Amino acid sequence: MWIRSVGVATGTANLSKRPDFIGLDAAYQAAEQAFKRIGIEHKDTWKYFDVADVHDCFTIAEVMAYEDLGFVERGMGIQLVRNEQTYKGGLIPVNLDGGLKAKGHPIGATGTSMAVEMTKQLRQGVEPRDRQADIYTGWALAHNVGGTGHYAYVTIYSLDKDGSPRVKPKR
Amino acid sequence: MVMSLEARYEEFWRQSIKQLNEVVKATGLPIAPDEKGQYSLWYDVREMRLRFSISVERIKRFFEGLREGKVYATRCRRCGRYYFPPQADCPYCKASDMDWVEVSGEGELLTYTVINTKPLTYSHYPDYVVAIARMREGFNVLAWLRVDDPKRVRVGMRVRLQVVRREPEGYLTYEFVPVEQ
Repeated sequence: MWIRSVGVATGTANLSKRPDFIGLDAAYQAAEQAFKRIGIEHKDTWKYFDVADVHDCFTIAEVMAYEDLGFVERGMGIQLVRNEQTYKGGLIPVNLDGGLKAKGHPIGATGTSMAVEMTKQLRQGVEPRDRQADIYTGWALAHNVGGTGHYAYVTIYSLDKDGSPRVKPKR
Repeated sequence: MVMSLEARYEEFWRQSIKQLNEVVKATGLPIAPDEKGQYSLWYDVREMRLRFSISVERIKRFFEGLREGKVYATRCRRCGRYYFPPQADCPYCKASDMDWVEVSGEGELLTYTVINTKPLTYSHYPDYVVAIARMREGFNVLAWLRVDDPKRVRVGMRVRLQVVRREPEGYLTYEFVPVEQ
């Protein structure tokens, strides 16, 4: 298991200084850095990853995460959920561990649990088996946010030591 | 008779500490169930009182403005960026070359939320609206929006930023009020 890329960025704590309220700039910038390092564009990124954990501290935060991470375009995040594309077997399975709102959010330990979950998923060792994602590319992404978007981390895991992720096969 | 704010909070803490002392006496430990009775909580037996103090020396013009009924922002002489609440330093220019400018006060509501679950020291206020407005000058301000009925608040409505006294404490601050159309 390789940590292939980490993107880190900060954002303002003052909501009145944010250009908009439909995403987290820190998360977008962290994703930008993380994707650059593994040589992929910050666009339609769902196709490179078998599974992801995102920081759904609130329902809307999860939808904003899809868009900040470039899984889909701005404004389209909700369609991923409505079409069940973030479920197991969907375009990009997200939070198969239940996410923050279902499994709990013990702050610092939340980020650690994401690292554990992405590792288990890529090693295909998830129990119970019904929440094991299908592994094609061997790449996974964890997205973690601190404060009200004051800082964000995007960590990319892979079974490959070198190279860029392949695109998932069409199903 | 209405109890003063200080007295109310003192009474709240006095009751809490009294209960805690009783628990320690009865059980030997400061452990009691939480409000919902779900989890055991450890209550520190030592009280820590904390009240922040922070230097406003370099932005005191802002507070003098409030006394005159005026709201000031700072504007960087080099890049022209506005800062509100005012800052003495421009992080973009890494300079401290600021003008004090009175804000127009004219704004348009960008977003808002109604606060009905309040922290203890805000619990004496009626439900209040926290809003962000885009000012005519092009910067945003976060402030309470003074309205009788929060249901009538609309994104895009015209608001005016004005100096008010926050009662019952009586300190000067700034709030939005809707502009009648």
